Amino acid sequence: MAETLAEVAAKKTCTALAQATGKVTVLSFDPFQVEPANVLDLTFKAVAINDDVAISIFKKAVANLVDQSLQRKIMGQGVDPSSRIILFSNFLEALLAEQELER
Amino acid sequence: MKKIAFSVLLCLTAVAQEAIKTTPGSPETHLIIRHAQSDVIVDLTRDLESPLTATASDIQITFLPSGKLVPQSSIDPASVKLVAGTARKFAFVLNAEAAALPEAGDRTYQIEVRNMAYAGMAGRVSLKTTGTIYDASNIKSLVEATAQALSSAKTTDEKNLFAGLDLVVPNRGRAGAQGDFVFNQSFSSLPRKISSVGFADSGSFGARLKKGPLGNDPQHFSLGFSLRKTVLLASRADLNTLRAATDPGAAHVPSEDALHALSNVRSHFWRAFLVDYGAQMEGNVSDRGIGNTSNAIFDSRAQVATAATPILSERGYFTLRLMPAGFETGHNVSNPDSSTTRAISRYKAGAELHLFYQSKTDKTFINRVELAGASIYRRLFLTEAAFKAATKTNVNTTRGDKLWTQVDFKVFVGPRMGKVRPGLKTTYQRGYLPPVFARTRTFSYGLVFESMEGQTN
Repeated sequence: MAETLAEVAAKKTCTALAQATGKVTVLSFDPFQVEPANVLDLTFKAVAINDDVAISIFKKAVANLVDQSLQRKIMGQGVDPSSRIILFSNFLEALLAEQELER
Repeated sequence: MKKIAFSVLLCLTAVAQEAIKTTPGSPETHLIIRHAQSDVIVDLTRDLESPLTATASDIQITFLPSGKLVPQSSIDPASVKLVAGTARKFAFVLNAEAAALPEAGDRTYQIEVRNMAYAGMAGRVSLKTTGTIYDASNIKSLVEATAQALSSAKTTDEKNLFAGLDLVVPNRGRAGAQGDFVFNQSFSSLPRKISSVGFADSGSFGARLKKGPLGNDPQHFSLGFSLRKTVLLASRADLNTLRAATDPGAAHVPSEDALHALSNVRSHFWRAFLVDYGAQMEGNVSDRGIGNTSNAIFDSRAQVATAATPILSERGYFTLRLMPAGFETGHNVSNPDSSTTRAISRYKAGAELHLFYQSKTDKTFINRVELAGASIYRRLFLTEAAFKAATKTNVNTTRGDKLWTQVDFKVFVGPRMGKVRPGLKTTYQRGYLPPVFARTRTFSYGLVFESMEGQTN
């Protein structure tokens, strides 16, 4: 089944969250289910990713889930812990699209 | 030197205040034309009923300005669904066929979706909105827009609005203003050579100011940049499994295998190893200004960190950072009170513990409790400047063991007041901070207001 890059980005973001904080759990990868179910609508602070170290762990976890060409952009991206996680997922979706379209 | 440092600090503050604010508004949509399909994404500002009630037959797309209508048969019916992890975004796929592609010159489109149901609301509604079409020619603008929305600069440890009035109870009955100011800004990209050889994968520049009344309270300011290398303490095989399981078309990775790999990663108490190194200017804060006595320092440190670990029936969590070793070397740049100190060489070690409790519902009287304790030990190998209280000058010198400890306790109580929630904060600080080592001990308390804007929990 065709998958949008928004879904791919959401899965990678949630999986990285589950590595960076115990407050997020992936219940299933097929179909993809995560707890809390609306985790992308929460802020990073709400899932206990609220300082520079936790943000670094999260970004590294995301970077490990993508091609090397995107890793520098992800690690170099500033992330405000007060921002909603969906904004990171949007950013990742855009990066994945850029990578595909530049091939 | 002082004026330059001050100017840079003011510039950083100005940049921080220009932070982008994303506020909820009307539905947003965008369409990405990919090689084998087109993605259509719709973001809403309130939760939708799950599963999505609208189907492919409820969707109408018109490219603009040509007015070309996308046939509903071009929409992959199985792809119309909520995106995992959110109740506010749905997406679907347009098949790669001429009928589903815009005409030359079309840069936007209008989407109308009928039969939509919001969570907790009876009845069905329709939404109509317009969005941008992205392809290879303009996809960079989407990357830039999303990056900008994500990275509003931090102006304090807490960001948002932790505006507070602190009353200070200093050692000897003197009161005055006290405050911490922290600013950090990530480098958008590192020089290719640095990151490609693995020295660092991220970096930031920033400033920190600790200001209390003169005498027994902290007077510390630092400004500089830092590079960081982050290593997850997990096996490469587990990380590769997780990557394969989240790549497009990942059905070949059984869910059980991916869950097992994730469980292995989460089983490590210490989740990451981080190395930071950089250069900074550290100065004192006095009635003679910032950086009257200042040092240029090369700072390197290694630390291990836990992930946030749930406690108290998952309403709370703790995090622990442990820095077994760090080194600060450098040179005294200025000390008008003394010329006896020059080279600087320090070993340091530290630990930081955060405890956090969040009530189950938003209406509970005690909504949130935070306790943070941090301690850093320094061993001064060479003589450095120290404060002489009798003359209020930096003529003394010191070396040896110096400990700094800080404990912050915050409790947020009662209902929201508009878009803020009131709280109480107490801070205890004790010990010694560079560049002018003086024994400090303060206990402060005050009101804090946390902005709830942008929080959905």
